[in-house]
Amino acid sequence: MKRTLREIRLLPPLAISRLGDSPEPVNNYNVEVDPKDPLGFRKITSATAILVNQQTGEVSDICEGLEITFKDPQGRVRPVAPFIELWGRFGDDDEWIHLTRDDIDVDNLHWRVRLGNVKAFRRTGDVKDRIIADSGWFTDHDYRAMDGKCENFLAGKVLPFGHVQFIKPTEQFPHIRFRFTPAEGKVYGSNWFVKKADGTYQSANSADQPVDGANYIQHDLNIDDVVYNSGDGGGKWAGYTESTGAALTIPGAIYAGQSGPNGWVSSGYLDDECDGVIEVELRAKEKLSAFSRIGAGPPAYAPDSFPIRTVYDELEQALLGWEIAPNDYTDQELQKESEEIIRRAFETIRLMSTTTMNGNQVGPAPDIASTMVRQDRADAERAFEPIMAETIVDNLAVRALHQNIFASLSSGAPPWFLSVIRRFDEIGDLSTEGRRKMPAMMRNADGRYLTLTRRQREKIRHAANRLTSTTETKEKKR
Amino acid sequence: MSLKPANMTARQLLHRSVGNPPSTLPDSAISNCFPGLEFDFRNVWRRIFVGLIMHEADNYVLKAEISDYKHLEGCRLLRIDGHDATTIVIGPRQSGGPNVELATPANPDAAWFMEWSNSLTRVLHKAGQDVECVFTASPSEVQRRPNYAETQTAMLKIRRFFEPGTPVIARELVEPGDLTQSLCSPWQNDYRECACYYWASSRPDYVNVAPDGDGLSAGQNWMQRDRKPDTPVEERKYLPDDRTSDVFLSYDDLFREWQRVLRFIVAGYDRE
Repeated sequence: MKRTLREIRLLPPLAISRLGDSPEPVNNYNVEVDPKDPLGFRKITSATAILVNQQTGEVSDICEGLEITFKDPQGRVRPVAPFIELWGRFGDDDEWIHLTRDDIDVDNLHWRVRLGNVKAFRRTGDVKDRIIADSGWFTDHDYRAMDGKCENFLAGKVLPFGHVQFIKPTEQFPHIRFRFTPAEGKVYGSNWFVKKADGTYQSANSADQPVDGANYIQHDLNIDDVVYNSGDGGGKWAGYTESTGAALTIPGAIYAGQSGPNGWVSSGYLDDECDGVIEVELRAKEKLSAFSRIGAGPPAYAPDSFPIRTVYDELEQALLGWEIAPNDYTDQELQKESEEIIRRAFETIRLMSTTTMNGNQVGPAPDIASTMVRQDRADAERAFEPIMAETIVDNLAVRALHQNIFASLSSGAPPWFLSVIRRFDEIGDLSTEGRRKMPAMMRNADGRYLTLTRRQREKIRHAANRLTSTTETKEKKR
Repeated sequence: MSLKPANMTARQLLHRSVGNPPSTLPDSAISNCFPGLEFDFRNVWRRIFVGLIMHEADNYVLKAEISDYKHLEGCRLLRIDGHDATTIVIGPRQSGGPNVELATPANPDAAWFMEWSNSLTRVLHKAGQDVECVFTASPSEVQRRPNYAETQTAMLKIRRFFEPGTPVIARELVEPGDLTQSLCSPWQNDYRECACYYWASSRPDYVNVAPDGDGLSAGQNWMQRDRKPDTPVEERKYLPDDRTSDVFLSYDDLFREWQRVLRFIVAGYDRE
């Protein structure tokens, strides 16, 4: 007799897929920190991989030791196609377990996936520009195309967001899983020919495409298909123009286009990124339901490195608050978490031209890149000058600085340490000292100098306090 | 040590399903979104106040969803439950000069909005409750300082961030497509356009780096078209980005064949 399920949950609650045009997804891997070289490159090693037969929907093998490559032999990018697991709790038990076909009647599981790409809608405000794929409820194990539909698409056209599949549990592989395989990363458009900002067509370039007359127009070779109706009865995404305004995205005018007399004119391009929800219902005597979220973005191009401040940090702070309670972490966990923040900072600057980002003059021009230095001048009319002394910001020197910080944190942080980590309410401090606080040279979600989440900063504060007498009074924490 | 239920729930945020690489987890996705790579995560805050749609990246009221708040459209949120939402910008106008308020014609109050995430963490525990919110008295295209004189007050209910008892972002907070809506369209355009080096661990900038004869770093720009990881160190030179130069990948390169031209970086070097 099967036990009574009390609650079900899809894990992970937010999964990230990554676009790619290879039919073979990336095999699973681990990234391992070498304890003898804690700031060395993380080692990529093979991890337990699940191979799926798309035709049957069954797992064909769960295996170890597969080769890890991010492109296939044809040079195509392998997509990252995450599995979503169905977990449950029985009776009064607090323990969550990954459910198998022995725990529930699998035929009673109903799935639905809804994905959206509403980038054009965010700009035009036209609800007919929303691209939505809805699988409807299903129970089978088909490799199901998630075709994005939009009222402003041409008749019969869809924008493929990838595929979903309810993996069929078998006697050999009984666990309940679902998989999302993202799209290929194609660009879609509104016209097979290139239009100029004034709406007329671009003549064919005779140098590249010899023609015998001036009546030829350029094909748009950037797009895979024309899906958007920019003609009669269609939408305004192609030719949509932005200039300035408080309601626009920040940064604004971030779409493929060209400059026109009234602002930035959209070329009408669309992509196959998306985000949405996977829902499941167990329709038994008592109905149980759960959902999780999914997104599709570009590959992580340095898979052995990680960002300083991540979506996880935001979610963790939203869930647990910015303050750290006494039982939140053991001392060892706190130390590990703090070291991980510094490690991620190190991994970011390691792949960054720190001299450029500092605003050093490289070559004859003083302002050569999109830096915080440029932004300080553009947004606040602050003096244009490098953030740090120009002589100390070579990449290897900045790495050494972080190595020292890491070592300090491991053995007891010095009293000044916390004061040089920027607080979130110090973003307006563009004084020489204010701009030099950490994380330095980088931009945050508000377009200002990067800060950690308050909870990240608290982790470092607690880790430092554990080892030294350094304190930051409650009154000073805002 | 016993874990509180919330801590156990938090651990599920990093649950790694069998077969999933680390790049599927939310700690592999940037959140210094301007606008972002995997998500523009700022969109999670747009519906945090019941009845209003806020700008994802600003304290600007885009839309009132209920008529009682229609008068707030276009206004700016200056204080939330007693906490300032904006701060004053200071710094030197000239190199070596005194630190002064940096007012500009576009920003006459020298005021900047502080990001949603760190600001709202103070009130998320009040989900379901009304909190006092102070807005500009009238619509304002420009930013305003926290003690701006002409204000109006509204009591706004905070939405719950997560589905009850779970680590899933609440259904009513984010609809399909919301988390990516303010990213570049198409995303490939941003890899060329933005030159955003602030996400170097996901979108590398400085690669194939090694010490040169002077003990300084020598490496190459990730967007540099014809680079080779085995180029002698003395010949490696980081070239500042230039969208008009053939030395670098072009918009068209990325639209047409980003899969082929963008290279993965492992241990700091071109993988292929």
